[in-house]
Amino acid sequence: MTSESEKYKKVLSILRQSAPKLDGVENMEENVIGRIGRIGRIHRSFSDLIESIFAWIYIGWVRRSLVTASALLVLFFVHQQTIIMKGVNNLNKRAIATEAESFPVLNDAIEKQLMMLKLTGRRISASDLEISGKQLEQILNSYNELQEKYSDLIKIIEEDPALKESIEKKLAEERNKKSNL
Amino acid sequence: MKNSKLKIIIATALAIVASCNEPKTVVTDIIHPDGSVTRRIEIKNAENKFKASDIQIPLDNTWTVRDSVEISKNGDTVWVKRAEKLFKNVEAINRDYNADSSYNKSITRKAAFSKNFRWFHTGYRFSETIDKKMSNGYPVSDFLNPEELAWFYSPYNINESKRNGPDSLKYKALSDTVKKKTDRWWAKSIVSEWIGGFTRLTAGKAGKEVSFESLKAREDEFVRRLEADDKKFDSLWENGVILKEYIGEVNALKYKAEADSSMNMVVNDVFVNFRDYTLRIVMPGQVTGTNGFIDSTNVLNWPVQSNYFLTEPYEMWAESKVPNRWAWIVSGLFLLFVVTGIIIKQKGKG
Repeated sequence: MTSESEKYKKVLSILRQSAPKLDGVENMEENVIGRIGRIGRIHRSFSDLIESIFAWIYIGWVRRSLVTASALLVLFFVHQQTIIMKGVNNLNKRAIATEAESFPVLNDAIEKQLMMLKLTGRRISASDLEISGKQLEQILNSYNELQEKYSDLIKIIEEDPALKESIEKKLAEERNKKSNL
Repeated sequence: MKNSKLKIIIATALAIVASCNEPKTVVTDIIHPDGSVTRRIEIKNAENKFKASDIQIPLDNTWTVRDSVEISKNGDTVWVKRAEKLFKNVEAINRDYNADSSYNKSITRKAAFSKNFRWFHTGYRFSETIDKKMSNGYPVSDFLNPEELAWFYSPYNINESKRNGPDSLKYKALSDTVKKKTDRWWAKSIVSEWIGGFTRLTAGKAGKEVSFESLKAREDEFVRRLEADDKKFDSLWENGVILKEYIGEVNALKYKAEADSSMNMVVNDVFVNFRDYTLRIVMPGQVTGTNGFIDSTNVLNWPVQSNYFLTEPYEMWAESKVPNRWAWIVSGLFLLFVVTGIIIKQKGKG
């Protein structure tokens, strides 16, 4: 144990005696101290920057105003998106399956115009009336539909003797009225 | 036999009238974010006749025009005229409408465009409006509920496919209801328009019993008479029977000319010189609202037909939005800044 500690002391004294000779120790010391100082300054200027950017957090009214502004911005965004989503959802009702090259314009306007023509004693010349092929088709379809309804009505009347009797009675009354006139 | 004969007669008679071929026109407005509009017109006709006065939209030599001949699905030859023009703004379109010499010149049309900055996006609105023809008619919305109104403004082919689809009974009933109610709307509007015209013509001459207010008060009575006697209304009118009942014998004799003139004015309003067409609009960005129909290509479509603008203006409108990316970035950075500040404050406290 004693010999080991003696050996250690010997090695230590040898190492101390054979220390490397350094030139410019003072320069080196200055360099090291300078570098450590620069790191400190960079660190200090960064924290100064952060502190100046976020200085508002220590001013109550500015902090509250910015937080309110952020909240309002978020609310405005949510409100705007809700309105847009509602509008877009309503668009689904306006969707049609196919590409509409042109809408075949078939409506009851022509029918109403014809009614008007009749009501007003045909004040408009027939040449002023225009009708397309599609409208012609619609009139023929309406005619067919009317025929079908008429046949159905006749069938219903035929199948119901009470109804038939009452209609015949009405018709007879009408005929009597006309003959009296 | 009788029926088929009748059908042939009707078909032949109508085919003669139908032979005045009506060009099928589709107008496409492509709206640009700066408010300029590229307007494209496609006119298809069974004949190679494209007189500007036969076309539904004003078209002159300032347009770039391309003519072609195509064969339709049915194997028929179709002459097609395609025209395109870039309008600097809607005012330029309105100038064309004001100097309209097309077939539809008797109606008043105008286009409008607006652009609104909404921070996260910019909103666009484009509309085309056709002014109403009758000044005293009733809006059709007074007679129809929202579902019936939707049916009324829907294109014929869409309604037909519903009528023949799975819910045919429901849609047939709806169609019948709309027809009944629009017949009533039509009759009331005609009577109201006649009253308006008649009282204008007799203003200052006639007594209180033929004033606008007193005739309006008896409007429903007149409408009921018109509906009840529709088969013989023309003869009753010609003989002055209805007028005598409505405004009294003395006034009927005195103001027969005015009554007839007013009726002629109503007829002119109803028989407006108008050829139907389809309007299509392509908006910038994402569409957010419209009263048109969106087809599979995301284009907005409207049928333009005379009964839509008889008693109220017909507005075809569309709204869209284009996101402002820079506003999203600025807002995101601002939120990040505030949240970071709050975190720093909380850490400082800790």
